[in-house]
Amino acid sequence: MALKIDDKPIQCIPLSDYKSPSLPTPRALQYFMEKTLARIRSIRNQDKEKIATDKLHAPRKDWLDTIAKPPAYTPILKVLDTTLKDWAQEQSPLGSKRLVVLPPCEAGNVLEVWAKNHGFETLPSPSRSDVFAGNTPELDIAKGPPLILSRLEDWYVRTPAGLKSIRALLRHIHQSERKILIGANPFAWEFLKKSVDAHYVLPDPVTPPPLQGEDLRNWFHDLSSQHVSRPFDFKLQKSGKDIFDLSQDKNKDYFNALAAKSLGIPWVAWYMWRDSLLTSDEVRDQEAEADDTRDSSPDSVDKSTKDGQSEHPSDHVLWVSALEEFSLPGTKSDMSLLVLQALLIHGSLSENELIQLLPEVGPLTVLPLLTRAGIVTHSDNFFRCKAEAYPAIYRGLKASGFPVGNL
Amino acid sequence: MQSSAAQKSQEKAAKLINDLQDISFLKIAMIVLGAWIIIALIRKILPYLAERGPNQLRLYLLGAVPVIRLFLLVGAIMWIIPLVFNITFQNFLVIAGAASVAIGFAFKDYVSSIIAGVVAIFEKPYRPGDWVQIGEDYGEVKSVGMRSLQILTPSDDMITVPHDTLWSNNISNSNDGAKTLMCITHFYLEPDHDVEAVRAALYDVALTSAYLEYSKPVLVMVSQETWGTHYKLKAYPFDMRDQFSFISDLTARGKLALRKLGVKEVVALMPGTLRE
Repeated sequence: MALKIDDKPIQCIPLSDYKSPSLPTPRALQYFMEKTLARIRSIRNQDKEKIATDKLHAPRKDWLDTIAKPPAYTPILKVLDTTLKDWAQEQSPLGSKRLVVLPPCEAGNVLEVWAKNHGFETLPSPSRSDVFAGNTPELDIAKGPPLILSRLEDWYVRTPAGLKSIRALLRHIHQSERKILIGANPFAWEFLKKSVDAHYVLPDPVTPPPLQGEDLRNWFHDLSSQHVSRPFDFKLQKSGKDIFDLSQDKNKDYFNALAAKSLGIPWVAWYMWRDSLLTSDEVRDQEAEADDTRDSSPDSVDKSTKDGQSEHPSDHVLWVSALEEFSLPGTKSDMSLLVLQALLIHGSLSENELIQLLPEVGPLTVLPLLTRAGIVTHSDNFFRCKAEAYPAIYRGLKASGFPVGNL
Repeated sequence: MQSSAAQKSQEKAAKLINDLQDISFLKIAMIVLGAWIIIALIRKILPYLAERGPNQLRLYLLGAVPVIRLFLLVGAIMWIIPLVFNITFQNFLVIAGAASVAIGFAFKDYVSSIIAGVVAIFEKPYRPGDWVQIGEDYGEVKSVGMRSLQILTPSDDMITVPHDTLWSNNISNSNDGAKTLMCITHFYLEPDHDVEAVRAALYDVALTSAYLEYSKPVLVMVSQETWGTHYKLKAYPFDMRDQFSFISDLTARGKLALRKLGVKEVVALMPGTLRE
């Protein structure tokens, strides 16, 4: 079911029905052949590109934040509004529980933001140290207004003692008369089904449907035309054509490929989109000079027509390059995959926590390798899987037989 | 004239082997070389793809090697035989008689192994990628040849086992073509402890292992022995090549969990040791 950003509202679907967008078979075969030939012959297609890659650079972050404004989960908020509209109303039965499984690698906390937007109470999660120690939290959630539990992965760690908190929580949820909305990522859900039989207590999960190519095109077009004091043209590097021009088949291919590569996950597609935007040296220098002297204008100027064609062709061109392919670094053992699986199950972990959770002894020498390869990010002392690398991580885990769901 | 033609035809039919000038040795050599090259390529390419491709396809690719080799060999032999031998019923009886004598005296065991190998392809007591116990040897079946199979043990020893072992020995297959197998981790405890607490702790140890296969059950068996209590923690790793890492992980974390419960493990005495 395609997600329309501005059309009629779309609801979450059962998690078991989630199917990532895929390229049509002829296009997939063509893409595979191109990739294989390029690898064998090391063909570089610069002579076919409208502008050579070595003349382009990543744009400034403030530009990127203007034309592809965070947060990346805006489409999901609308889906949640539609899905949970009845649940949130007072007419729905007391004690009803809803479980929403959201794709992994989302840096914010979508469910908590949604809860705040609607004025719902959220249940604070225990500290990681308490969970590691097996300290059962004191909970009083038997009666009261609707409650939001935004991330189940904050309530356990993958150790015997670390299951105590989540077991206590599930007992309280089962006994509670409140309406409770629970969020989890799919790796956490698979783990909890096995370790604590969470599927016996919680209802069948639902998840936002995958974004298709057309949805991404509409979304990014809307983002690029909001609050822009200076218009940009987005041109495909290979053809030089306006990327938002619907009459161009190559543009449709691009967004369909983006949907397929991002597995239909909004924030993955958002990061991939931002990473694919490049600017030329001239434009970057001109902008730097202009920024030094101009006053900021509060008025946004939308120069785009409805079909994405710019009325005022500008010198400010952003080139949309080929989507980056991530591949997991080759290691002799499965240690990198074990690290990535642990990060996905828990959301984020510090190095000390990873050492406690992984079966191998000694320092984690794969962490610098994964960070350098752009697979994981390290901030605030925590490691997380990067959203744009998630499809490669998912493929790697699935190919190696790790227990993964269909998201 | 007619009797001369009939006589010639009869003489020709009686010949066992075609005349040398009628035998195309070049063609035979090409068939042998071609079959050898294809088999060699299959034996290299399919295991290579199996190790680098998706885990789900690994056992299918490995299992295809002996089957494809068998078909290629049979095809090559069926192609060569009419080129060398004059195939008639009379000649067939002559060949069968000679072959029986040779097999009976000299090649009995070799032929027995070959026939057992063909039977094994269809009965599947073992396949490439399976973990089997044959006699005292346990390991992964790396290749299934015409006469023998090769097993790589956990100690990195390559053991060659003739197929005719199949006739007289039990072959214990731990996974039987599946991508996982049951791993059993043993704990030997002094008898004075809370059994349910220990079972729950060991159960959680398995549930929280990084190697655990989610679709298979976890079981904790307990039995009382004369020296104490024997626990068997039974679980499945998602990749059977990780079985030893999995057992190590369960053992290490199981011992930690038991220590936290204050449960003591049984200490085995060496024969002849005095204890006061």
